[in-house]
Amino acid sequence: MFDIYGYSIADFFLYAPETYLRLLAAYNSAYWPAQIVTLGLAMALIALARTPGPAPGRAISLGLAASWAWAGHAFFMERYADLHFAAWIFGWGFFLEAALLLWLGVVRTGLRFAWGPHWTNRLGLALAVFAVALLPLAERLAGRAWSTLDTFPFMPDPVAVATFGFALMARRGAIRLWLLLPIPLAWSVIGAANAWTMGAYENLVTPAAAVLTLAALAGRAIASIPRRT
Amino acid sequence: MSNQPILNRRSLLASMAAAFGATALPPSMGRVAAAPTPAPLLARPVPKSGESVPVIGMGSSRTFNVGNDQAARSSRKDVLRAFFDAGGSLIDSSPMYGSSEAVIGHGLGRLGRLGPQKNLFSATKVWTWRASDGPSQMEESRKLWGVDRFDLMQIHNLVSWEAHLDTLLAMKAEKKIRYIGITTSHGRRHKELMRIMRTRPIDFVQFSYNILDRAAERQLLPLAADRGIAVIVNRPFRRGELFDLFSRHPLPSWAAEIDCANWAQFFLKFIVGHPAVTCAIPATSRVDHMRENMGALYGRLPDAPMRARMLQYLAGL
Ligand SMILES: NC(=O)c1ccc[n+]([C@@H]2O[C@H](COP(=O)([O-])OP(=O)(O)OC[C@H]3O[C@@H](n4cnc5c(N)ncnc54)[C@H](OP(=O)(O)O)[C@@H]3O)[C@@H](O)[C@H]2O)c1
Repeated sequence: MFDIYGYSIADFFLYAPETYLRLLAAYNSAYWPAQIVTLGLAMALIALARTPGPAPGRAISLGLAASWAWAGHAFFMERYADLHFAAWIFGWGFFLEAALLLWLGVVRTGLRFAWGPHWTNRLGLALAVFAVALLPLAERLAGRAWSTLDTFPFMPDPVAVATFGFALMARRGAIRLWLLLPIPLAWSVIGAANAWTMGAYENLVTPAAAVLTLAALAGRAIASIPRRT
Repeated sequence: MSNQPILNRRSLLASMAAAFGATALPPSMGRVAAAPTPAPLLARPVPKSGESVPVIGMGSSRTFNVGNDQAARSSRKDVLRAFFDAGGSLIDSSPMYGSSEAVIGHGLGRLGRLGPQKNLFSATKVWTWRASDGPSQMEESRKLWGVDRFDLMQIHNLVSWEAHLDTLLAMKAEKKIRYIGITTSHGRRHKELMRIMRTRPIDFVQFSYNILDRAAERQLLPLAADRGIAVIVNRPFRRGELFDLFSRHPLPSWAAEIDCANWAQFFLKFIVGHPAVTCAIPATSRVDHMRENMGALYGRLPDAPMRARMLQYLAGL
């Protein structure tokens, strides 16, 4: 049986920080300058949420699904698998999230997004913008080389944080929304453990975003109870 | 001070030279062979067979997990070369360590260290929860290393150990592996490990032991000696933490009495000075560190009073 007590966090990330950064640098440079194009596309997705409705909802869900699938394939399956024995499990987790987004947001058209009016929607907007545009800058300020920054949708962290942002922008009361959260939450925990082990403390923003999202969604749900009764 | 050179470099080189002819030796080995008085290499016997193993081997988690990065692979090949040049032989890895096995195999191939009589003692692990996945994982490891068979196959962290042990016993009977071992690194599993050591026919055991983490001295090491089980010590530097803690302090002048020129050798000689230890497997990604570590393969070893003095010195820092 797997004995979790026999292992420490560091036992699950058995590579040197330098090795991890070199992997990121090789990965990013293989796709450069696609990162600039995807930044534009991601901002367009965020802009689409300005006008709530089924069509923008479908387009955003499709864009997010593609992002999860891309990070799962290009990062986990193609690159990280060289360093981590469980990369394929993470990759399949990302594919599953992509499938959920397609099913709930495109096939069932159950997801609609908006910048407001609730404060949680605005918080979501801020998180999404942070994930795609500001997270790499924060990492740069923390001293990371340009070539090693986490960019959307190449790396799991910005994809997860952006998804938290869109979850907060989603129409209130969309129960299905909760189905979309377990995988980004699970990644926040795993990514945080990796960041901790690598000494990349700037990446702890991902679990912070997860906590913020859960707190905001819970706060919104609780606030809506008196109105229902 | 005790000095236990069971194998010396001259005899090691002589046997290799006999097998290949001196010219077939790598140049650096040839140079060493030509030296007037080769230093004796410290080695200990595997109790079950009497085969000698140099007291310093090498680990590979983290340090050799560099993926497909060609520059990093080449630098690890240089680390391997430094290891063999200094008389090293036992290399430890595991399928858990990402690309480490592939990187070792790459280095061994480039250095011409594959094949019989190449002074390689290959040690890896089986690490699957379903025992039925064990054989295919071990075969995959064998291909990655490029060896005909592993010298030592260990059950990693006691995972599904009962079922894996049956497989390994059958493989040993068929001469597909030479030795069987079990590993752990955490105090929590020591009880279970000791139960296995008492009741099952294993040749090697691997656990953590270093100058600060000495729980193994109480029961594990005496039991291994009593049962005739070879001991491989992992985390000899506590994952490098020992250097962070102590390397800013001066080495005591009396470290020269046990031929320690640096902290790495001080830490390693403390470990292999314990009579029940067969070898320690420090891991490094650097050639200069490898050379420092391999220095512990030569000279005098500390006896019990000297080891007590080493502990006392660190306690005073
Ligand atoms: N359950 C198990 O089976 C198990 C568990 C743990 C470990 N192991 C095995 O045991 C091996 C050793 O343990 P470990 O890798 O955890 O830790 P370790 O050998 O105690 O320490 C490795 C660290 O020490 C540093 N280092 C090495 N030589 C040095 C020197 N001369 N001066 C300064 N720093 C030096 C290395 O950094 P540089 O790269 O910069 O030199 C590396 O960060 C593992 O690689 C693995 O093969 C097995």
